[in-house]
Amino acid sequence: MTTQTMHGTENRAMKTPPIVSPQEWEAARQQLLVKEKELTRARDAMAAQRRRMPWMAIDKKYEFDGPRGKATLLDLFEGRRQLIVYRAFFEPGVFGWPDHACRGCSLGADQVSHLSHLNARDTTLAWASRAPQADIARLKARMGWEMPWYTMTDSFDADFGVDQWHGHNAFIRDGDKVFRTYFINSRGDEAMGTTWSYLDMTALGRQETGEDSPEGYPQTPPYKWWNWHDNYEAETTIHPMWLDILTDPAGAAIRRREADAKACGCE
Amino acid sequence: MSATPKLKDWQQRRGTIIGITTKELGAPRIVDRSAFQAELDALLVREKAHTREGDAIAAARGRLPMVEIDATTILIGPRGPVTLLDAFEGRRQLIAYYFM
Repeated sequence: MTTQTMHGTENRAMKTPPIVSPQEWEAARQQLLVKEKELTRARDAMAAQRRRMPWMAIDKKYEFDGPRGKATLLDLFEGRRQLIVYRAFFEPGVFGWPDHACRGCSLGADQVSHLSHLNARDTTLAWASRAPQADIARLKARMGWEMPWYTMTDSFDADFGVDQWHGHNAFIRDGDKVFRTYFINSRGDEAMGTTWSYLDMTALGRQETGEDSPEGYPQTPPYKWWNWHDNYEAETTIHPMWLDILTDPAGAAIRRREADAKACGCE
Repeated sequence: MSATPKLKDWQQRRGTIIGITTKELGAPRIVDRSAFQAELDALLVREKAHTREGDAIAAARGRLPMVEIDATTILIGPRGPVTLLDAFEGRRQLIAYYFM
């Protein structure tokens, strides 16, 4: 096989790994899985350390332009407890302007997951750029992006380490007081986009039991709060069948099969 | 601009997480910019080590042996039955996720 790839390299030129039996392959995979699991746990431990970061007091009043006019940093929370602000480069002077935002930031925008899950953990994601709102609205429509996206009007970018380079800042509020709780940039931004990557950078984490958080942090059982993205508002208390599946998975499967058999009359 | 009433109602209904004060969270240390930056820089060492460990594991994945599988396995797609090979859509690699 000499498949031509996009980059013009040929299979023959590549020193590919040996072809082995399924058993040998599985053994090699199991060996690597040990490392994979270590990495996952190391990430959990790192997120636990993030949750023990001190909070930085913010006294300056920042002002943004939003789709509905002026907005303060507090407004960006949209009433939720936590906020993550990603600074994206979209402004005159950035390659692609005015049709497009920075390519790296645009790739990042494409991997932003459905925000309903993050919102269900009382956390809002917002993007911020220097471009005027009209350009941001046009860009969002063109690219199919739906996250809230604000225009920075003051020293927010310089004050939060995102004037020269992209980055994610995490905030928490206590009433009307806002604190900065974490910052991720550079290659850390690559991994952002999933519900879990966002929650793992926040002060409260995933807010799930079993998570190593300081005492008194809000936690509910994993899985239990998960819902379909179009069903969070409709289902404010856990569906009994979902609860059944979580508390007794095997039993629930049997009960479901019995119910299905009854419904189709094929008992 | 402020939160829409609809959103606030929904949050109040969902209850649990809303309205916890800083005190209830065991009073996290509130620090100034320079102290915060110092803590951030300290944790960044760990963050970077983690990123590099992830890269090293990805490199090890690339060196895993390969196992040949039946490329003619049939899957049903939107335009009818296709082979596993067809699922590559002509590209070099394929990732298949089993969705329940």
